[in-house]
Amino acid sequence: MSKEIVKLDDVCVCYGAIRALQGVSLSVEEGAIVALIGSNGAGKTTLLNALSGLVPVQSGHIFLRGEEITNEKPHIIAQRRIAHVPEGRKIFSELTVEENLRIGAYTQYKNKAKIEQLLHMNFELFPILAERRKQMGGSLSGGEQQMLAIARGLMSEPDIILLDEPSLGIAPIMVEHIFEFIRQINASGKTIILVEQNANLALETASYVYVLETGRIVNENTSDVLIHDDTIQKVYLGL
Amino acid sequence: MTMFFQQLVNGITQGGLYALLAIAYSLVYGVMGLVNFSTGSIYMLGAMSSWLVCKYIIESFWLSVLISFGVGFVVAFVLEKIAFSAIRGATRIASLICTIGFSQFINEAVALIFGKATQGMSTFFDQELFAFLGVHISVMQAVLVVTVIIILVALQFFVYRTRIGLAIRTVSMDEKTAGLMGINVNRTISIAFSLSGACAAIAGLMGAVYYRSFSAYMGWMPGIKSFSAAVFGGLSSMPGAILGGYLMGIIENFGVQVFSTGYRDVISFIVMIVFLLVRPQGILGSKKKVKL
Ligand SMILES: Nc1ncnc2c1ncn2[C@@H]1O[C@H](COP(=O)(O)OP(=O)(O)OP(=O)(O)O)[C@@H](O)[C@H]1O
Ligand SMILES: [Mg+2]
Repeated sequence: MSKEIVKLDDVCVCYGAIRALQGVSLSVEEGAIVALIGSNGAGKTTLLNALSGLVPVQSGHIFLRGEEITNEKPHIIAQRRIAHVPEGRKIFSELTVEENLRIGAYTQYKNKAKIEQLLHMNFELFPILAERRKQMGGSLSGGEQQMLAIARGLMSEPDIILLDEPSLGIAPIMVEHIFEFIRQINASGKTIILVEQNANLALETASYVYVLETGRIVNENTSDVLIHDDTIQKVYLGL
Repeated sequence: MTMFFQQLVNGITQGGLYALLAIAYSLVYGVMGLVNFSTGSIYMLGAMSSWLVCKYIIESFWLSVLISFGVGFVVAFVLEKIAFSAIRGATRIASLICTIGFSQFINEAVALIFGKATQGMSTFFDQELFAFLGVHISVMQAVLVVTVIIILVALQFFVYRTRIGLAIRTVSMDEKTAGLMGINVNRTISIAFSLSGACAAIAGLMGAVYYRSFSAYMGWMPGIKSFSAAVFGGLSSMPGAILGGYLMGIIENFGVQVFSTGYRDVISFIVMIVFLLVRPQGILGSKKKVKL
């Protein structure tokens, strides 16, 4: 058994009268790729946002390496080696590619040499970004922006990366590339929590999968088991 | 020709003052998406502190600059902490009314303490720097112009070349994502707000020196004029605010020349309204909708 790195315990989140998360508990082991699947509005993004402090949690607890981080400010959580690559990429379109990456290393400002090293590493991982480094973030294609968003996340040297629908609105060939990168990043020892609407892709990539429906976890298991699950096949894989 | 250059010189002097105030609007608008209508009152407080310094301590221009900067910074800091953090997230119109209320409160408090009458201010650098073909430039004008330029250059450096400046720009673009990058959003807003106050207060000191007077209500006109200037230049753009401020000063002084002094305040607004009908996002502003 490896170590538990992220844990949610009975977490509830409301937006006014809308109950987006209703008592969600989950656990992520260090070094794993864990996927969250579920239809539109199930609460996947809300779960990641609660984890990174973007939305307030009404009740329940969130732990990072055993320490409680429930309702901490986003910048405090970001300093704890966790990077959130948000839904819709949220590239700073009026900054250049390189500036976007440097922003990602904002918490590393004391170590200039480290920043250069991380920049170099990311340009090697994503050569297309090196080519476009002086271009404005907003001028990149969707797939390039997704790579930039992931690279920006990596610039903070995280142990844990939250990825919210990295395949959204991106050409299939580019999606393949991006998921190849995700596996590569995971192979380098980083834990990944992946939100993905494409259940096929999620089951292929992750070792463990949680199924979210209207704010509740309705099913969870290793991907090998879930891929043969009847309801999963019917509802999410369309078989 | 002589008149042309004389008005140009006067316009640039006054425009610098508007530019500082316009920057004060644009800094706050950038990070909070809020038009801070108490900017004019902070301008007045800057003038007041320099007036007090010259009256009770020592007649020194440079000490006044320092003190105004400090007062503006601290007042804005406190204002943001007690008033604006509380209303952050409130509806836009409620926040807007709040800033107007604060402005009123500050003006009336000062009027209660020092009276409503206009007070005389010490004169600085009264000598003529040079006169050429009938164009007169005083040392005071030169000092004001140069000081504004130094401050503007320093601000540009701060915003575009430092880490805190980067945080300010990032929060202006997308507050939530800025937080995910590890940027302390609240602190960044607080710094930008305080800096905006410092700019407004220094503009106030310059107003007091330029017009040789101080009064509790002196912030009103420059306040709305430079707000217009900021919109004119493109509210969300700092270079735009600077450009808008200078253009406002220059247009106003030429207007006075062509028409008469009585129309001073009307002319600049007419020019601005006509311009905004043609280009609503301002000179350098982006196409994004300006939200009030
Ligand atoms: N800021 C908000 N204000 C009000 N309601 C919200 C807000 N964000 C999300 N919701 C609601 O909360 C519920 C969960 O939304 P969430 O974005 O977490 O779903 P999701 O699983 O990420 O969906 P999608 O697959 O479409 O991204 C939805 O009913 C949504 O309408
Ligand atoms: Mg979502």
